[in-house]
Amino acid sequence: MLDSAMAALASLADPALLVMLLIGVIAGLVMGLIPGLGGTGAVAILLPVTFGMEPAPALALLIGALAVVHTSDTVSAVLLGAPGSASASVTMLDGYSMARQGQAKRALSLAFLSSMAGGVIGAIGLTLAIPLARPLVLSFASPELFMLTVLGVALAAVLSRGNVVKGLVAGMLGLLLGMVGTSPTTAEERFTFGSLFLGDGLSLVAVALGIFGLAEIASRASQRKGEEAPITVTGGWGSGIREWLTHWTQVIRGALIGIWAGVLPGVGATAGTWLAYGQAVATAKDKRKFGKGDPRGIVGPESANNSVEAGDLIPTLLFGIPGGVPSAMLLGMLLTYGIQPGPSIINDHLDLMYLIVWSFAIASVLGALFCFLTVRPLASLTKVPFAVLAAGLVAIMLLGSFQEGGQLGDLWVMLLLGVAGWVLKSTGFPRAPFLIGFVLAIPLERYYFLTDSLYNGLDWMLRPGTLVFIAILVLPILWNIFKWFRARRRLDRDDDPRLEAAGDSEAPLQNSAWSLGAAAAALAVFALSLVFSAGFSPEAKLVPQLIGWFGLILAAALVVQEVRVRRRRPAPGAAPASAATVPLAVAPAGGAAVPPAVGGDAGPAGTGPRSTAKHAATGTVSLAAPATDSASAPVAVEEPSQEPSDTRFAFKTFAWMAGFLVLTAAIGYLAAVTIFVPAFLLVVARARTKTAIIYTAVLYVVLLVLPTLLPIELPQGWLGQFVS
Amino acid sequence: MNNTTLTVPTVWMRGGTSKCWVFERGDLDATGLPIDDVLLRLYGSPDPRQVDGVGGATSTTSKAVILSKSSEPGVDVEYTFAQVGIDENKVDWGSNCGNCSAVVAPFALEKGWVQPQRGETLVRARNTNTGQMILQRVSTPDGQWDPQLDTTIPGVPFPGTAVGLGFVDPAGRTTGRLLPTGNAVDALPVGGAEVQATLLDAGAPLVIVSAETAGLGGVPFEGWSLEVLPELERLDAVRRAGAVAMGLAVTPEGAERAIPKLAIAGPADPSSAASERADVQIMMLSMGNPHPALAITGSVGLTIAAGTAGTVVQRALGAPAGEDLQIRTPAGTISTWRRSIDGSDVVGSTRTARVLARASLPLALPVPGTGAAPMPQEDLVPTAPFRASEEPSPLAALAEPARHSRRTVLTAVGLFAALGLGTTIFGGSLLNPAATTEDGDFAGETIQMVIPLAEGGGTDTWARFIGSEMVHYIPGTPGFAPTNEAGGEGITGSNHFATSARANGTEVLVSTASTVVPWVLGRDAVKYSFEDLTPVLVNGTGGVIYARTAAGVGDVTDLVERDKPLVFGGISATGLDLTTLVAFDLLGADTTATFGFEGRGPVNLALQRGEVDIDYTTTSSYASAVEGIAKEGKATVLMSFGQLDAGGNVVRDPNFPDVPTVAEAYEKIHGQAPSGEKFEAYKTLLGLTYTYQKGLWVPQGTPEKAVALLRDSAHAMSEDQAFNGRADKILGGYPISADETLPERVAEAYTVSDSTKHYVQRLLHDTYGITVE
Repeated sequence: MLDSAMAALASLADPALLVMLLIGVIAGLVMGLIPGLGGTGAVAILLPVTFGMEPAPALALLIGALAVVHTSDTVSAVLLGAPGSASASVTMLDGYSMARQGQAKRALSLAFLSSMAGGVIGAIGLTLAIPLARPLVLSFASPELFMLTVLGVALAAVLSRGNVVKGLVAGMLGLLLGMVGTSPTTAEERFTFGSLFLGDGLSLVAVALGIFGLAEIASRASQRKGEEAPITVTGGWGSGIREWLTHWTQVIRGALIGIWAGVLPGVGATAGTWLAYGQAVATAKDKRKFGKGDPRGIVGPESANNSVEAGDLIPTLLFGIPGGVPSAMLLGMLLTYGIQPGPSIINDHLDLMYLIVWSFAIASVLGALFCFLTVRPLASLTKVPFAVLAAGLVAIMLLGSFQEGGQLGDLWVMLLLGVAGWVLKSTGFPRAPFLIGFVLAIPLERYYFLTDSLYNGLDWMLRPGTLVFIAILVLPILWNIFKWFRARRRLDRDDDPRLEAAGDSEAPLQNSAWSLGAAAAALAVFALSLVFSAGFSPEAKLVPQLIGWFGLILAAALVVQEVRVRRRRPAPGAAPASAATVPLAVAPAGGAAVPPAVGGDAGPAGTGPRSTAKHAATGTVSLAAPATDSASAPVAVEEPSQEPSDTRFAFKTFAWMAGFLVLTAAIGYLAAVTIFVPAFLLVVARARTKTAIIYTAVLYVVLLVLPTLLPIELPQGWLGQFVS
Repeated sequence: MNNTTLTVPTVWMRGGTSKCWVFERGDLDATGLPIDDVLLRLYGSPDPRQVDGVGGATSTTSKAVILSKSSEPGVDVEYTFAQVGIDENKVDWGSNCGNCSAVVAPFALEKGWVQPQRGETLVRARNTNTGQMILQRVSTPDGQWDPQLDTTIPGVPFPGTAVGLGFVDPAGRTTGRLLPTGNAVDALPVGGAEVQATLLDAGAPLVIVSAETAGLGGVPFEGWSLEVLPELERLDAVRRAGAVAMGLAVTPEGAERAIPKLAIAGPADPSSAASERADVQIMMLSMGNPHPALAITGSVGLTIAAGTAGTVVQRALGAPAGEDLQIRTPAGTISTWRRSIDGSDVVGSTRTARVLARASLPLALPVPGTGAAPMPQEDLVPTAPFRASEEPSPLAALAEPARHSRRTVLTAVGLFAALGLGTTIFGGSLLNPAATTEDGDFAGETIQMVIPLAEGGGTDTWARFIGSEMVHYIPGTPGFAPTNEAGGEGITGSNHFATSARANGTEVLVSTASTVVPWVLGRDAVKYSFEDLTPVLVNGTGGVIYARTAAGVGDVTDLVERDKPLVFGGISATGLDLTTLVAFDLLGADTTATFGFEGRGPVNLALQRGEVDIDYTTTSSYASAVEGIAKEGKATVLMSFGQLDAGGNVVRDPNFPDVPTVAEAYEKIHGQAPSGEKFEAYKTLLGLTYTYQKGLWVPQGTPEKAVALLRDSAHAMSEDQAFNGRADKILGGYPISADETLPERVAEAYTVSDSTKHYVQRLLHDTYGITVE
């Protein structure tokens, strides 16, 4: 074995092979950078190139790309809050927070180093796991795989920053959205309302980029100036590496979880990254910083999502079962060379196996190195006013989303989800569980259905593997309930640093009419889903109904919670405003009153003074200033006020995006970009004229050239069809 | 420019719980530089460690007091307090520091600006940050300035010289009113929620919140400074909201860091030791962090708050405040007092001060040779925005860029729109000239291959391989551009091709079982018909049905008359599985089916785990999925699907010459050759989903010459030994078929009789509960 390993390493010294590996790495990095292309984009461009090559360079090329896609897809998640893949949404939780605190460089350095280590450990794991893979894969039957999907969604809901009920509701909404399309069990169409376009389900890229990317753009496009928090430029490479080294146990744990999750075909990758995050949170003594820029929240998952790719190669090579599009591509390529995947590959093609392992390890190091060297310029992106970035981002994200299905409908879905994502974000719903729910909906349903039909009654619950997962799922809940009771008794709220009442600058509309509205909307969605799914066949409605009822209960709980919060607190803004209108009359009265009466009882009366409050607010600068003045926000959307609130701005931005889509449908993507981008830059971003012209010109040239270089297609408009 | 080293004389003093460098204004003015720059450079800022300066890298040790003798009647000394930024390039002039105020009297006495009196000496000091007068009293028993180190205060382990600080009419110095909003308690909007706080302007502007509001309800006082850490971010937001409500800032972001200060007030812990008995317990936040002691300006404000009805402090007190107040701070308990002196409201407390060092600080700034030029160093931010020392003007941020004129916008957008529209209208025809495919070669053309399935699957790999090979056999060697139009299980892309593909031979559709079966079933969504497309080449595959030995299956006869039906694992009844289901029905096999697996690979694993009993595999994955477990005796290969020969008969599969076909299995079970509706249906499906499984098609109406050229090229390829060598594994042992008889054979295979259609629909409905729409 060692001979083969060394021979494979020696063969990589061949410059031709190294060049291929390098090309693969660069292609993979570039593809990973563009949100929406990722691994699938790398497939499409590299697969035809490999036809006609010898197996070794072809493998080097593909493995090079495969190993690094998850290294660079972190960039957009960390810098822009737009994850290009479901697993990057995990890194986003802490990475994006850190970047918003001006530490983009630190976040990226940690992520890249972890990716590298994850890849290297993954490659080692790939070698060592080969003898273990078969029993491991065979010991995970449908019930275990089902529990794994449940665990993925539950972990995302519980661990995302914010209220757990909101997390669960978001997860349920995601699951429901994932149910749109053809049922995996009966090939029946659900929630499609007769549309063939919806029949295939919604595109992951459209959902991920909508719910995160467009929502982020809408909430930040009002930024015409650079980021306020200064970018930390202190500390060289050395300090980054030193900090990262202090988290070495997290790196190893993350990587091991990644390999394990990758070995399990189907659900592994996404759930695995969440498990890595989950264990990082669970084993941390001080959990308070998670979700607010904790380095441990970056290191573990980032190392996991690269080692997942290595783990994924195990079932691909040993069973011929690829876990995702990129490994399916690899499988296809192996077949063209007559390399038959299967247990015998270890005996028949040991040299190629080691070539894969070595290539994977070297590519991981090279990829991280390239990324590491570009951290500084990348991080400085956050200095650019967000509104200026937004114009190009809208164009690129919509284009990326178009690539998966080639349908304009995807772009409208993406825009609608952008609005939904913005509402979720602003009202304090964590969006990661939504995305994870969406991704895992079909596997969850599939394995629940298979479990239900292949096992008698609840026998499956008694399988040891299932019991372990149930324990992982239930014990923390019990522990939290216990802690909650203890905390209640001691009136000691320190156990939960993220109190629901805690202000959160990321969620300015929390506890406002908006969040009550969002909870009510979720309630309505679940209720409607129950109505619609009632007509499905028994097999097809099993899981949607289950989710519908669960969601209904959770959403109802949330509505009650919201109503109680509103009852308990006075309408925001009412108290200071009334003070401003009748300052002297109120002051002595308020002062003389029994203390609790000052704040506590203002609530029920809040509806009355609201209108007064608004008039007062426009007159008094000091009171009109907080744009997050939540009580007046829903009203202010319709009414012009002196200072445009963030809410108004967000909806304006969405209107711009909608306009862009209308233009695209009418005159095609290229022409729409040449109108939208300069207009947005000059009117919304108020960029300098020179900047706007160069920006648009560069984008125009890129869009002209791109389709000939990459497998990218520009949406055609009505005009284009008319002309041709 | 030359590097000149100026020196600045200074005295380093402790005042209360702070340390500050004390300057005479004249000494700083003598440098000829803006004071902000001088201070920042002397302190070594910005630098988190202030390593190249005298700053102590904490907020309590990065302070400066600048004094001058006053010529005004009634005022002895004027002093200005400066909070020098540590890692920020900024000096905060927005507030006074009560601790540092204690250095004023000792310094003034030392300088001889005030004549010491016998007994006690009164120094009338005016703070210019706030305009506050502070009556300072020091003990001078002999009428001489001879400071004694005899008084201890909390927060300072060593004794110092007592300085009594009395604040005269401290209320409303910054905002004009004691309660800037007029309310004893305000509800501040913070992050959508509301926070109850007392906003008070006395000594310095204060935002006071209760311990409950700060998330410290029930926390023992010792734990406050630790437990408050996770709340800091929110509390700073409260503070900033308070700044807005008090009119100190226009937006929360614009609020200064040091002003207003935030205090957390709670009732004294009942459990605390007698030595720590206090009326109220307070923790201040300074520059965003818990402060161990109490700023003296803060103690003034809190003392007044304690005496103001309805405030958070007064509520925490429980009982009405007397003239003296014991305030417990993390560093110890301090006492304050409030008296009316000569008709003025005087609030006071005692601090101590001590001289730590007398120094002269070299100023390592490059200064202009002739003295008059401005700012020598670029990285020092212009001082103007930060020097709003007298009035709190926090709008230091850059202004929003101005709007563009309508003309600029319209011109720029118009020009680009013209460019984009021009490219769209004219670019298309320039880049894609009309195809010439009837002239005997495809030179300069590009074959566009529509693959209606996702990248990476078996069909995708097959199509890309065949396409990239085939273009080399076509005269003129056209380019090859595969595009995946995945969606609707292949239906979307095929529909799109059927309606919009150009019929000139350059656009080719890939078909496979998953697009053929829905067409056979007549699903509504299918808008294409293989009867309307022209085949270029077809390629078959084969497969075998195998079962788990442990389920009690030794050969095909075990399929019938079973105690317990065999569980078949499927993906979807309306896909490739259909042929297997028809085979089971034909044989009368005793099986039940569970659909919903992701693919054949997972079914194979489920069979190995014992979750399902019977499965099938196509030839290409036979080796990886079945061969091994069959050899181990875990699985039994029961039969092959067989192949259709030219005469439409089921014959043995060349890749499985030793395995009986479904037809042979029928004979073995039932003792006679199969016939009838079910067998006809089986043969039709066998042809469509195996023998002619994958195909390349061009639209109807493609010129005869172009079709012939493509088909001949494909035929030439299929005859080429070199190609077959390369394609061996991809084709899986089934040759490509593109000869002259192809259209005829395909037409026959792709003709589905109504009885077959109805039978299949009935089977799906009756046995599997699926209604084909």
